[in-house]
Amino acid sequence: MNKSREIILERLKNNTDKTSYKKIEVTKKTNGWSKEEMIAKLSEKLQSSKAETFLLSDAELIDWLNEELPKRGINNLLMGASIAKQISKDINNEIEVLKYDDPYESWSEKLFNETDASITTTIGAIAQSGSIVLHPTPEEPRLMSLVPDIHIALVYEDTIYETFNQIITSQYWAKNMPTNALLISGPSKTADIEQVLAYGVHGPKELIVLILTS
Amino acid sequence: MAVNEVYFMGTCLVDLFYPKAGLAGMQLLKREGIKVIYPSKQTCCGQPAFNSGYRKESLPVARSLIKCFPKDIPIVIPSGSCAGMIKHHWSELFEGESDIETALSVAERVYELTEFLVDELNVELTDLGEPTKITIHTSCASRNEMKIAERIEDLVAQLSKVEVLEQERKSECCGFGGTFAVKQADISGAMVKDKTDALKATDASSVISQDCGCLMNIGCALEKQNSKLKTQHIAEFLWDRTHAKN
Amino acid sequence: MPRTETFTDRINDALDNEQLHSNFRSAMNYLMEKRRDKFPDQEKLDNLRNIASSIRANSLSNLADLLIKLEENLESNNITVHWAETDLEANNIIYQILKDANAKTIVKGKSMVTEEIELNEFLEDKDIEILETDLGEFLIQLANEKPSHIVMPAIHKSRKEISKVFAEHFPEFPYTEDVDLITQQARKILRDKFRQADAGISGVNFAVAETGTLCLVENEGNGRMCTTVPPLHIAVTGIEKVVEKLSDVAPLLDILTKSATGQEITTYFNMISSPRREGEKDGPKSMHVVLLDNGRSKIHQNNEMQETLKCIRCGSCMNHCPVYTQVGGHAYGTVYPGPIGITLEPQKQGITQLGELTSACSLCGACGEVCPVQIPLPKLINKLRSEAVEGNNANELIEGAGSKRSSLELLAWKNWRLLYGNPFFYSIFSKAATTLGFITPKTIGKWGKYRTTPIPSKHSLKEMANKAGFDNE
Repeated sequence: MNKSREIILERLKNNTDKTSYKKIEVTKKTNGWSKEEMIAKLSEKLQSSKAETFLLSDAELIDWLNEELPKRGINNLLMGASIAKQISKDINNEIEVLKYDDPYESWSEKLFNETDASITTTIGAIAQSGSIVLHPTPEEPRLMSLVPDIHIALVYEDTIYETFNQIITSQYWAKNMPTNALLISGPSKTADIEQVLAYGVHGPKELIVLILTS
Repeated sequence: MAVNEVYFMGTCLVDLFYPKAGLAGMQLLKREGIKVIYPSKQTCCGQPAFNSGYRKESLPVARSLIKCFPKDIPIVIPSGSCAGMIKHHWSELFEGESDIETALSVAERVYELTEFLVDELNVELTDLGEPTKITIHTSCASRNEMKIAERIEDLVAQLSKVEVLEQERKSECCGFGGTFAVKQADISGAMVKDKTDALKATDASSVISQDCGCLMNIGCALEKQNSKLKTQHIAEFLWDRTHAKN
Repeated sequence: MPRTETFTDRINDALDNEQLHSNFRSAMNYLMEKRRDKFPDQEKLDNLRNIASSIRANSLSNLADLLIKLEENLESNNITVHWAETDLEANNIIYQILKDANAKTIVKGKSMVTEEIELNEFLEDKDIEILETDLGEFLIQLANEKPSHIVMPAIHKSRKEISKVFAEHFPEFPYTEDVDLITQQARKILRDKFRQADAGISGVNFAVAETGTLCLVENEGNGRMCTTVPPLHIAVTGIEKVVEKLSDVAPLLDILTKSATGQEITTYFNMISSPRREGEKDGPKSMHVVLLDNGRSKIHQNNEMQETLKCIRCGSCMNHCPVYTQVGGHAYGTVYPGPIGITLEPQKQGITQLGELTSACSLCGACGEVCPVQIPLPKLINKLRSEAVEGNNANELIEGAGSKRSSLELLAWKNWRLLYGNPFFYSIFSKAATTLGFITPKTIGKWGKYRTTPIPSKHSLKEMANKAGFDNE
């Protein structure tokens, strides 16, 4: 294996035409969108990818959950500790609160087959592409936003950025990348069969983004 | 730009197969008060051998062409493909050769005909012909290499009695590709079939183009299909419709 | 579709197949339109292409250093790095990793580089079950076929053909042509497979040297499943996929998704920088990356052709290629088809074997116009043609250079040069052609199969110009 490494690197270094290529600097300019514009663009893009968006105040969150979850046939909701702290007192009794406390291996079947929906926080969103951004943590593991059929994501309005590079630089990603950083821009989909769009292939069938105003 | 004389390079295809188109091009230029010089020793830009990979055979042919254009005046060519070869590929053909600078100085002076008529001469046309419906085929070279494909549309737009019908997938290659039409004859045949289907579907009476390679490909295919759809080079089309016959 | 002997056989099979032609025609129209809609402003597009091209050119001109940095950062993130010079070596490395982990069932995301090394066949030979999970790849795996397009692998199949394949393999589901139903059925089947797999294998879209991060684009979610659920994740990538900085990713992602499928962005953009860390509850416990050469370092040494390696595998070139539209992906007989295929594959496998691929091109230039990273594909294809027939100065860096030189063709061009390179001989030839034009046969060879023969005019332009009084110098 190391021999291959040396052979390959030797060939690559051997290239005598060392014209060092100057990269074109990517513009750091932004469009200067207001918060309202960003919320509007984010919502519009998400909706065009068949995600749902709602604009709520923090206080309205629990009411929204209590009204919408039964309507949508959701009987249990997987969540991390901080959301649980916020809502488990006031959430409908019929909705079972599930926690992702133990490693995946210990309850994979239940996660895959018996979990209706999950709710996660996000570290922000990107208006230009209509994406929410997640850095999964021990509290809100990676599979929460992938396995259940329905994924509800909380985006705080102050964490919406214009562009991908903006959120990368503002949050200093290059200094410390998480295990997994995710951009999610809608429910799972495919156009592999005759270019006809179909949703809910392997990832969630529904993505619901709740944009929370302070 | 104040021009009063130009060289005219017919191209090898035009010389033997579409001479009337070449003559029409020269008449159009002459009518604008330009002295048009037709170097008698001109032959070919070297493209056929170059595209087949035989660059060493292409070079001497290109070189013999250079000798035809000694004066520092524009060289006008009624073909996007040949103009493109000289303007954009002679740099590759002459790479490492001692006369590359001379070759490039010729390449710099090359214009495709419609490009020259519109951009340099601002030509104004009056339509003296009968009402007609045409469809336009732009060659890949005029679109992708010379980037002057719209000039043909600009010129035709000045003809008040000409209606332009647009064919489906109008910027798709007609399948000529020079020796491609022989080397991969069946693929080329399938491509020209799709192209002629699209052209015939417009209901136009003729197909007009800047390039005789495409016209030969399309025209001969249409003829084989017993189609009544005619083909004509833009120069011939313009000259026919705008000069007073007496 | 029968995989027959020669390139010509495969082309003819394709051209004779009406259904194939109609499938590809509508698919390519769809993809071209979707891309066009995303780039309404030519100036903005040119600007974005310039940036993307400069990022990739920068990667190539510093490739060795960037790979070393990438390796360093991956390893400090607990991702084991392996270097494979050949496809066989890569397969052996992957097999060994799986064997050490006692992994018997594998789920796999879509990856052209694993097609390149024929990973599935290699592992199946060793009794390891490897299941494609991208819907398109899953379907053609069932049909025992290869992908015909690098982004949409099942693009050559119509809905009916797919429904049939599906029903044959899963008789427990009633036959349906409803795309939603087939999708849901596939989802059901694959969910358990994800959950129970011993390992997941994926490709890589961009590997970021600065942070040791692997980036993956997808719409379905199977890629995330393969790289998150099983306890072991192996990522395979060509060595050219590395980019210098995290900030390089955004413009490349932007132009990749818009060029490939006309999407603003894919449903998921997955950036992986390590296996499961302390305290985390899911993700693979161990991760490996295989850096594959397989001919790339050799191409890199050839300055004229190096730009071939800028490719970000968007598929735009083949979407716009009129030849690809006519014959489809399988006719090429190579892993990568279309314009990038006929440029890359003869260089990787040698001109002796694959030189004829470069003839499947009319040099229309559409590919060069749409390539997001400005690879001058028509120029490179033409260069390969000249290398294929080169005599004494054949470029050593191109395997098989000069091997297609044909004495017959050379003679033809030498004759052409004699006529066209000498004004005197040309004038004789021209006189003969115009005078005797009427004896031109009605049908000439293969040209005549589709077209009548053009007849030389009675008078050449030179004669007419002279007669009309134009000066000749």
